[in-house]
This record gives sequence, C-alpha cells and structure tokens, in this order.
Amino acid sequence: MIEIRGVSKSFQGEKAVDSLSLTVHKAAIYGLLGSNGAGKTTLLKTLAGIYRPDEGTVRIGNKPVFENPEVKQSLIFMPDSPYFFPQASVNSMAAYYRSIYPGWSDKRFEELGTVFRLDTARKLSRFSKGMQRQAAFWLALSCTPDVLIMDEPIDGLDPVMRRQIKNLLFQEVAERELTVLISSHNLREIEDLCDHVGIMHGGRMLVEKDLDDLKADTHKIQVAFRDERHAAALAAKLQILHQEQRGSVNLYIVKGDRERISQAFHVYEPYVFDLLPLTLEEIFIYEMGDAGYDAQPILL
Amino acid sequence: MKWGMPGMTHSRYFFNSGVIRQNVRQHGWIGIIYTLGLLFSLPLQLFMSGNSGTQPQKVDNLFRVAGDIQVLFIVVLPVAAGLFVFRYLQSKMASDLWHSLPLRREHLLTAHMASGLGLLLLPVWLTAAVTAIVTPLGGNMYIYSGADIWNWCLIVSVLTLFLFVFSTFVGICTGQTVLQGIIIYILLILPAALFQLVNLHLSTYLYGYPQWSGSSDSLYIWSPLLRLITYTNDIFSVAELCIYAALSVVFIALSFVLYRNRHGEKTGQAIAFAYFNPLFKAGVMLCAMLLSGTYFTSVKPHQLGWMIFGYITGAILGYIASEMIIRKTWQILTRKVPMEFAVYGILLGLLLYIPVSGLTGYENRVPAGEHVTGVYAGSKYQMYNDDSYPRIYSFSASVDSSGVDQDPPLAKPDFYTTDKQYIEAVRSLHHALVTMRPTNQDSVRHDSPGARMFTLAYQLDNGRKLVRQYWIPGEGFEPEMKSVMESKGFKQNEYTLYQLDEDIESIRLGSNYTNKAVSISDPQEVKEFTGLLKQEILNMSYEDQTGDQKSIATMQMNSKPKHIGYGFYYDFDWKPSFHELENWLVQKGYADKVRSTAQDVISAELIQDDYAGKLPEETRFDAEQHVKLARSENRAVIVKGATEINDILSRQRNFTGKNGDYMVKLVYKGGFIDYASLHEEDLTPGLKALIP
Repeated sequence: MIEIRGVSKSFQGEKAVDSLSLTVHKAAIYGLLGSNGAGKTTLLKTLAGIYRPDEGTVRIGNKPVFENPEVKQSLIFMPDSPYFFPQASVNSMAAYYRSIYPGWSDKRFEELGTVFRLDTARKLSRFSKGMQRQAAFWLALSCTPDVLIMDEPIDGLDPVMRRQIKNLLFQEVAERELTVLISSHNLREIEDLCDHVGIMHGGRMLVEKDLDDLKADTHKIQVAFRDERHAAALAAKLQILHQEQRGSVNLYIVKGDRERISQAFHVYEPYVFDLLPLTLEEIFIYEMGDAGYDAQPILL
Repeated sequence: MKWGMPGMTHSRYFFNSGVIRQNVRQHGWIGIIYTLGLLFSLPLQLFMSGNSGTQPQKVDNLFRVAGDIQVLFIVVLPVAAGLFVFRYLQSKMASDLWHSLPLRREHLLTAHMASGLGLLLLPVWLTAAVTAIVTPLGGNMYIYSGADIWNWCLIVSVLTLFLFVFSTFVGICTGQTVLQGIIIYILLILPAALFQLVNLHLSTYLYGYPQWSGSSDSLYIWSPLLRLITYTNDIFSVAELCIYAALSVVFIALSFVLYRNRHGEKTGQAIAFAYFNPLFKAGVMLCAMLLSGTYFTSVKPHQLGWMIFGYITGAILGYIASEMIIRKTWQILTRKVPMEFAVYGILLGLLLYIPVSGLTGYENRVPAGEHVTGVYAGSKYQMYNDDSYPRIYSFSASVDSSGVDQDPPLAKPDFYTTDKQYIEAVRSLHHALVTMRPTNQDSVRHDSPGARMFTLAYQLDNGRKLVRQYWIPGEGFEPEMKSVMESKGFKQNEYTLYQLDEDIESIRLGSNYTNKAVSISDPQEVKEFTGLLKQEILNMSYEDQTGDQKSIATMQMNSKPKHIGYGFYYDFDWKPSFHELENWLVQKGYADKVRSTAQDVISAELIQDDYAGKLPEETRFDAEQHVKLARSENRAVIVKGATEINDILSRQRNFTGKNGDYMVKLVYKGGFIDYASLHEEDLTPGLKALIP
C-alpha cells in the first residue's frame, strides 16, 4: 500500500505539491490526472524517492521511501522521457539493472522479448522514441517490481503496442499484485486502464474516485417532460449535478442508483426518457464543475 | 507479499559492481588518456630527451623529466574525471535515474568515487611501474633511484586524489557541470589571489603595513594549482603532501555530509545549497571590490573620488555577476535587488574599511619599550624573514652552539637585536614616523634623495611580532635615523656582517669602472682584511651611510665550499670612508691595482647643472641630455689636471640630476662612461677655479 500523507514540496518558494495525501492500495492501477504544472511529476518523483518531501511522509508497505533501498529495490520509476546511459544497448542496460535490482528476472526478460521485438544489441540512442519507451517497459517489468511508477508513459506508443502494454500491466496486476501509479494529462488515454483516478491541480488533489463506483453512480439523462413543472418537482428528489435545457429536451447529469432514478422519472411519464452512460471525461467535467472548478483547463 | 528483498550484501551497496562497471564503460576514456599522458610525459621522455651522444644525467626527482607535460595531465585529468563521473548530479534525467535506484546517497558516492579513483590512480601506478621497469635499459637518458620512483608515485597519487576529491566536492555544491569546472579552478587559485589582493588593499590604506613582496614561490604555495604549475623549484615536501592528504579526507567527509542533504531537484541550479548563496554572493562581491578598488587606486592614487568609484563599481559588478549566475538570467532587476545590494555593499564595505580605518589602532601602535625583547630595523627584512632564503643563499654563520661537528643546518641568523639602547632608538624613530606620517607621493620622491624604505620589526615578550614598513624621506628624520643607523645592531643586519664571519677563502677586489682587479688569498691577509672591513662598517657614521658617495671598488668574499657541495660569494662595497682599510690596502700594495686614478680616465667633463625650464622634467635622470645642454651653452669644462681628476674620483656621488648641483661625465679606459654628482662642498679650490 502506498501512503502519502500531507506531502509538500516547493521549488524556490513555489509550491509544486501542497499538503497532499493519497492512498493507493496494493494491486491497484491508479491514474493521476492533471494539467501541465499541476505537480504530477513532482509527486511521482517524491514517491519514487528522488525528491525528499519538505513536509509529510511517503511510505510504501509502511516503510519510508526516501533513501531506503529496501523499499526502492521493489519500485521502478519510469520518467516521462526514457533515459538510458550514453552508448547503452538493451543488453547492457539489462546487465546494469540485473546488478542493481535483486528482483531482476532473466526469465521474465526473455519472455518479454517476444512482446517487445527490439534489437537488444543496438544502441538505445538510435531507437525511436516509441521504441525507447518499449525498452523502458521491458527493463522495468523485468525487474519484477512491486510498485511501478510511470510518468506519462503512453506518449509515443502506437495503438497496438499500447494495447500490448495495457495487457501486460493487467496481467502483472492480476498475477503478482503489482501496484501501478500512472500519470497523464489525458483522461481518455488511461480511462480503460485505471481503477482509481485522482485529479491534481495547483499541487492539490481535487477529486479522487473509484472509477467503477463512478460509472455505476453517475448517469446522463435526456428527458422531455409533459409539464414544465415536473422538472422543478424532480430537482427536489434527485442529486442533480448538472442540468441544461435544449428546446423541449432537458439534459440531466444525476448521481445515484440507476433503478431509483429511472423510477423517479417514470412517475411523470415523460414523452422521452433516455438513460445513457457517461464518459469518464464527462463525469469529471461535471464533478469538478460541481466542486467549483472549471474543468476545461485541467482536463483535455 | 514482501516489499523488500533480503540478500543485498553490504559491499553490493557500497561498491556496487554495476555502478562501477557502468562508470568504467562510460568514463573509461579518462583513464586511458591519463595513462597515455603519463606514459608519454615520463617513461617515454626518459628516452626522448638529450642527444644520443650525451651521457645519462642524474636527476634528483622525476619531475625534472618533462615535468611541464606531466603537470598538464595531473592538473587537467583528475578534475575532468570529477566533472564526468559526477555529471549525473548535474543532468536532470541522469540524476532522476541514479536517485531512483535502490542505493543510498553514500552508496552512490562511494561507488562513483571508487570508480573515479580507480580510473585515475591505476594509470599513475602503471606509469610508476613502467618507469621502474625501464630504469636499467640502455637509451634511458636519466639516472634515478627506486626511491625517486616511489616519491614520484606518492606525490602524483596524493595530488590526483586531492584534485579529484576537490572536484567531486565542488560538484556536489553546484548543479552545473560548466560552473563546477570554472569554480574548481577559481578556488584552486583563489587563496593566492586573495592573499595578494588583501595585502595590496592593506598596504594601500594602512599606514605602515608591510607590503608583501616575497618571491612568487612562497605565494604560490597557497594555491594548489599555481604550486603545481611552478613545482620546479621545489618538489612537494612531506608536510605539503600530508596537508593535501588531510584536505582530501576533509573534502571526502564534506562530500558525504553535503550529498546526504543535497536535494535531487538542484540539478541545473548554480549553487546546490541555498545557504551557500549569500556566501557565494559575498565572496564574488568582495573579490570584485578588492580587484576594482585596488585597480582604480593604483591608476589614480590618492584621489578619493576614484577610489570610491572603484569600490562601488566592483561591488555592483560582483553583485550583478553572482546574482546572474544564481538566478540563471541576466534580467535580475526586481524590487528587492537594490535593498539587498545595499545590505551586502554596506557590510562588505565595513569589512574592507574597518581594518584600515585606524579604529584598530594599528597605525599608531608603537610597542612599549618594556615589552620589546628584540628589534630589527632596516631594508633587508624580507630577505631575513623569507623562509626560502636559507635554502637559496645558505648561511652557516650561526654555528650551532653545541659545537658538535656535523654538517651545519642551513640556518638563518637571528636578526633581532636585544640591545636596549637600540630598541629605544628604533622606537623613537617609529614614534616620529607615526606622528609625521611621511608618504612617498611621486612629487616628493624626486626631491628626496636618501629616502629609504625601512621595515621596523619588534619581537614582543608575549611571543608575538609587530612589523611595520615605512618610507622615510632623506630629510626631516635625521636625529632619529642617525641614532638608529649608527647602532651596531643596525649595521650588522643592513650590511650583512655575518657573512664576514664565514670561512672566507679568498677576496677579489674589482673596480666598478675599469677592468682592474686583484685577489687576496693569503689566509692571514684575508683574516686581517675581513677584520678591518668589519670595523670600518661598524665605524660608519650616519653621513657616511647617507652621503651617496660612489664606492671605489666591489669586494667579493668567496666562502669555502659547504656541505652542500659549493660555496657562496658575498659582495661588499669599498666606501671612500674606509680609511683604515684603504691604508692597509695601500700598505700591502693592492690599492692601486684596483682603484681608479687619473690614468684610468680618458676624459672628465664638469658642468654645473642648470636645466630647469630648458629640458623637460622626464629627462632629469638622462645625464647625457644635461651634458649636451651644457655644451651647447658653453658651460661644460674638460678637466685636464691629474690632481683635479683624482679629487673628482674620490669625492664623486651617485648621479641625482638635482638642478644646481655639479655633475661630471667620466670616460674610462676600456670605454666605460659614467656620470656622477658633486655637491658644492665637494669642490676643491682647484675644481672651483675651472667652473666658468
């Protein structure tokens, strides 16, 4: 379990992370969202033990991370652009990681070789960005970490490889209880990957949600009432996040149990009634609008 | 499920083979260049120097063999290794990778230092081994011992260690590789430069501050870099090596402490620790102020406006430069800048001003007579006080009192005098000086013949020393100067009488004007001569010492060879006031073999100098111009009579170019041309009659 408690981190007087707390359970895939400059990278680097928090604690498995090899040897941090030693090849990087990470598995490395079809003797600097990204995944997963922290990992991967990596991650989570923390500024990219999502803005955590709950819990409803007054009557009965009127059709975003909502509307026997699933993006936009934030600049 | 994994051994952490292997793979070229460089500059040079025909020469240390090239590699590569091996600290992506590894900072530092040192020390040891192997080979143009190789190996190893460790330390303190390199070399020179600047500052503004004017070698000892570059005079002593080794340990310790507290995000910043920023800013400002201040004061001396301008300019430039470096932008002007600059400027201004302000009582302090245990006055303080002096000149005058027959150490004579009367004489001169405060402004100097630079040094009963240096004009301090200069204590040091106590083997007297010369080597005569000379010097009056009379001849005392294999020679002047000595020389028949007489002079031209307003001031010391002017105005007289010429020769003084004085142009046989001054009182009636 990753526990971040009241962590703050400033750079030259500017707070990048501001008393932030976060819990990620074992075998969870947690998506960290936020616009550029929201503090995602700083948080991840603090979590990876690269930065020392100014305040607060970062613990994994109830042990502090910073300067603690015992924790860090089962943790891999993948930066937003992959970095390898100059002149290194996949083979030489593998040899290096093998000597550093006790959990390194040659077997896993070879298995993954069938997924990532890269020339292991070729210089990594000659690889394309996407290939470098693949190499980074390959090396990281070969270390059989317990925690994988990834900063904007999907960039530059082709759709096939994206699928592959997602499957690999699901597999690792299912088989080895890998905990994944993934950051992105694009919700759509990680929508189908994460089970938890948190949105950061200005160094703080705005919203934190379990995605399954969210999806089960929030609904978009298009309705045409027989009488204008029905709308007002409904508003008192349901938790309405958002409402707008398009001609005679009312659009509602409503929170709550699907059946109960459906029944509440049918009492008024509307001309039209559609209950639609929401995209994750829509949910957040409405959630955040509700919390007083304009979601547009935060989520793209 | 487990979060940590057991099984990591201690050495896996500290000397992580993966890290070391990676470093060797990435930076191995440094080791290769160092190896090639050292092999080229030592073993290869053993065979390359000299002609094939010449005999192999013995060297006392291996730096004598192409030392310049050796030093080049020693100065550059350990620092380069520090820059490259610790590059990971200064590059964001590399820093993130290294610091995300399951290794603590001390593990990283140990492994990186170990790999760097391996890359640097192995080449040194390899070179030493190769040098040892090729020792007996034919074609090797040098002869050296195994001890020489060990010595070389030890010195180069310690210096390499020091430079690499220092480079590492600076790397941890800063966050940019370029800046790291610049700061390393600046700091390696800074102690010597700062020493020099502070000295200049104090001697400019603090009346009586003894301006340091020692040899550059003793200055360079403060700077590891300059010391290395000018290694040739002395190889590194054991004490120096111990200091460098100790400093290396200190810098290693500091590196570990600071690295533990270094924030990972400091890569790319100029200074990695915020609390170093004020220190950095103040340091840069102080150096800039000293530099600019002393520059403007030396270009425009004694002008308050220029002086203040100089210091303020330095402060501004220093502040701007440091601020730009720290903030990494040239747009530094914010609202807080003027305020902060004012605070720094005022504090540093006070730091510079207070020591020279007189508030400390430095300028007026004359030690109380009862606290003075010894005193020195004269113009040779630097020579006596210079640590390198005995090594260069060697004295054995102060024979060890134990009387043990051994090679005398090259000791310095004790140049402090304990005589109470002399102490009082010096103190009263000191009092007069701090009251009158004469200064050698340019305008004064010309009209002040006989002015001297004196150092007054006291040994105090609390074990401390008080040293002052003053410019004393020829006029105004006659009574005080007379009682000092006629003291035995003064003459002993000023005229280096201890040299006459040495084992003199022979004496060579040589004329300063012709090639007449004579040698005295009979031991009895040498003894009589040195005894007389000593007496004559001790008998010199104040006027004899300040009259500026030309010496008749130079007397060179040759000492017997010493234990170091060769003797020394010491020069003394035959002054016209040495009548006893003159009589002795006449009696022995040596005098006329040396001193110039009318027969040695081809022509003597006498004029009364009257060039004021006719010649520009710069030609004051251009005697020939004065003579030409006098000829054109028909004021020049050719002196013909032998008596008159002899009178001139025995009375002539050093040429001063003072208007109204008499001057002579003498052409000697052998072609030597000389100019001399004569005062009114020097003119005999015979000479006076010649003046038109």
